Amino acid sequence: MEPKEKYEQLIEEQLQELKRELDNYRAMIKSAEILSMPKDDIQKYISNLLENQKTLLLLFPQLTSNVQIINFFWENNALELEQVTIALNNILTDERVKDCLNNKEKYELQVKKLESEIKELDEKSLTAKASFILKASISDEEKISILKELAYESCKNATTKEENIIKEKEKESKEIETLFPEEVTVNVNKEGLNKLKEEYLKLKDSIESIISKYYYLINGKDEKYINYNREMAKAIKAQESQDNLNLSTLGIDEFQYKDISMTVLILDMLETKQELELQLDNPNTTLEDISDYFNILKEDYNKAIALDSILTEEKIEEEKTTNEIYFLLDESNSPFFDMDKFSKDDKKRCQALIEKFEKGVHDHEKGKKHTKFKSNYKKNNIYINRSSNMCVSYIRTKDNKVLILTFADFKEVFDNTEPIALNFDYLIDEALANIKNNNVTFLETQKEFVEYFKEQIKTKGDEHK
Amino acid sequence: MIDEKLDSLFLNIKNDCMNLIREKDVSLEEISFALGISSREFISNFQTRIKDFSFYLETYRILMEW
Repeated sequence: MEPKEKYEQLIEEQLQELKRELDNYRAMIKSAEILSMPKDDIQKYISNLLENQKTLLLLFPQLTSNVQIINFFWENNALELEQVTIALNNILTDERVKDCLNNKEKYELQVKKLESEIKELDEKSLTAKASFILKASISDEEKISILKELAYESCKNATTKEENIIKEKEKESKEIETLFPEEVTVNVNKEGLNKLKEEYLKLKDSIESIISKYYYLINGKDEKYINYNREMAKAIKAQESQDNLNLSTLGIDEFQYKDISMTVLILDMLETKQELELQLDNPNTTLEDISDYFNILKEDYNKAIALDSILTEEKIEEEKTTNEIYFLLDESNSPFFDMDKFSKDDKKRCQALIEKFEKGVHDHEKGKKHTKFKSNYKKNNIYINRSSNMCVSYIRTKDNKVLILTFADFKEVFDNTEPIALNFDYLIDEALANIKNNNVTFLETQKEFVEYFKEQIKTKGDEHK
Repeated sequence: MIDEKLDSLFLNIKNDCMNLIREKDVSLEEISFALGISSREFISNFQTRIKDFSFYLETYRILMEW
């Protein structure tokens, strides 16, 4: 191909590329306009959003399920439901959508820039041609040859343009520390205080040890879960105070009852301990206040120790059924989930799910609703365990071994599991056979992966464990 | 004939399910999860009637108990 022909072809490709880029920016602007419309008339807002859903979803496919939810309630005339607001909020707080909304003006400038670049290329202005040739992926000889030709054709002076660079202003947020004025007064009962401090220090290690032993009960759990436990604990206490404890009326079993009780004890102990330590450092606090906190902490500690001995006994029993955990890995020994995409909270929940397996806990045995995967895949039962919003799908062998298929948010776990079960059933069969036969190579690979996985899902704050 | 009857039954049960979802403010994602399917599949099953009618009865049962 002659250099000139090659250049014409390159310029055409470049034009197409610029036009694609331009369409993309225009779609971004359009999306930003749709999403930033006033929401006073929600009916109108949603109608507009749904009319333009194709544009939106092409740019932001991750919004599909939320748009589907809104569409579903729109079709069923139920826009007043809170979950419509939640779905809308999910859309508006999506990181990429937020970027789009914040950068609308930038996109508008980009559009202007691209339009002018396209115009120049369309009109084949000399400046544009020369600049394009210099950047083109052709050899230096070809560049020189085309430039010579251009110079020959025209002797107009090229002008240069400078791009305006818009710099985003960095927002600095500063945390304001509230300082309480320190009034130094002499504590009246220094002797009593020192005695209490000594007593606390003696008990501190034991308290911390029990807290760290059961920290997994609250580690990574969201506020909703914590509140549920607190409310449940109140209901249990109310029944206990009337000597009328009936777990079935509360909808929980013996295992959950003990877990809830310990969860609330750990939460209370953490709070009281923190408050007590603050008070011990505060010269204005009275001995009475401190001893109140200390007594509450001691009382909770004693309760936790009593409950611990019951749970430890049960654990010895449970250990007989502890699950060995294996992961389904593809041919390149990669899992069917992307750990890089896990947030810190996701990682904590993965840990909680692993701990659940290690304790031999299976949601489907506890009669929970969401535990069995229904699909065309009938070869093996696929179960789901859930911790907060994170789920794990797995196959369980008769001798209590667990083959993990994938980890995913509860909204995505079925969508993510189905293709694995249907398209990679040969890998599942192979893994199950290897587990059964204790295949040495398989076990070594698994060991390596488990170590890698545990390292990946470790989060800061694991020092509590 | 059977198809017509099933269509009419589907519309009735769909309305009842919608009312239950509305009354109890059941999250679409949670009900789908409870049924062991994705919310995408749930929505699609309620947009067009599927052959397996037991799906609607099961949805209704779960919503009643919600």
